[in-house]
Amino acid sequence: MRNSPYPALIPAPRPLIYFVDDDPIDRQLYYKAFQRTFHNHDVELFSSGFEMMAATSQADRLPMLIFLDVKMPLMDGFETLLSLKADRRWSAVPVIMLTVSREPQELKLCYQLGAQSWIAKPESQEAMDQLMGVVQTYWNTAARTPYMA
Amino acid sequence: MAYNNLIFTADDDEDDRLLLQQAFQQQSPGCQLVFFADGDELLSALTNTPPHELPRLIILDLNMPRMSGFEVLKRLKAHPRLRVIPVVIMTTSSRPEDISLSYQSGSSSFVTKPASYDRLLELVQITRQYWFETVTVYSEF
Repeated sequence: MRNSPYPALIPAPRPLIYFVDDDPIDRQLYYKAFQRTFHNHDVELFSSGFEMMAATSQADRLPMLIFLDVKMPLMDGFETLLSLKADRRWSAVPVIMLTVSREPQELKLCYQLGAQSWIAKPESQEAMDQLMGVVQTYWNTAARTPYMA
Repeated sequence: MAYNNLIFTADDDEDDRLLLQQAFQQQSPGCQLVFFADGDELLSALTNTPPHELPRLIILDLNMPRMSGFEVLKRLKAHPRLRVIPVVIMTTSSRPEDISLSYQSGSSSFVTKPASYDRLLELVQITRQYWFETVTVYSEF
């Protein structure tokens, strides 16, 4: 290609999604749900907020979205959210709280700390696929995010 | 704040307000839109609205006279009672700087105004599905 009159085509990076949840079963279930609904996206799984925050310092690109559980050991969703929103670069990444919690005070605190959305985890795979389909459609076709920056 | 279908919208462009109103009536008639011509009017209305009558969602333009959308957003997110209401930025801009700054200032999402009415109808449908049927908002103050 050295003598090609055309510049080498560099494929755009696939959108990246972070999924943070301490429950290994949920991590696998949602990983499969992302594969079914978020086509052509890379997904990185983290078992705690602590693990994800450690990864942010090494990351060479921003994820398009972060899905964050609320109740986790070591570093829960609130602390993780607080850390993300305190970082100038990472504060621009939309965070969706995805949780079994139905506590109004927890929900309120997440919005106060800057979460972009709060979504209750569904109880069936069918409902999960439907929900993830809506989330994918909204964030890929309606909303814009700074993930390419 | 009840689980209502109320949306407060601030946009100085009258044509855009009419188009959005028409699109919601056509696509999502259950949603009730209240329009404000600038950020001052919006903030004044929100601070004078009883808690149970606050909107479920705010749609905010960026480029407005007197007070920019960023300034309105900053004031909303500094307000102890109003900061939990999701704010969707809807603007003609698609500048990466505006997108980043909107999220950094606390917006819940950033949407570029569509170029066609058909695309606006799609946007309204997707917005209703996401913000009214999927996301949970805080319902008590």
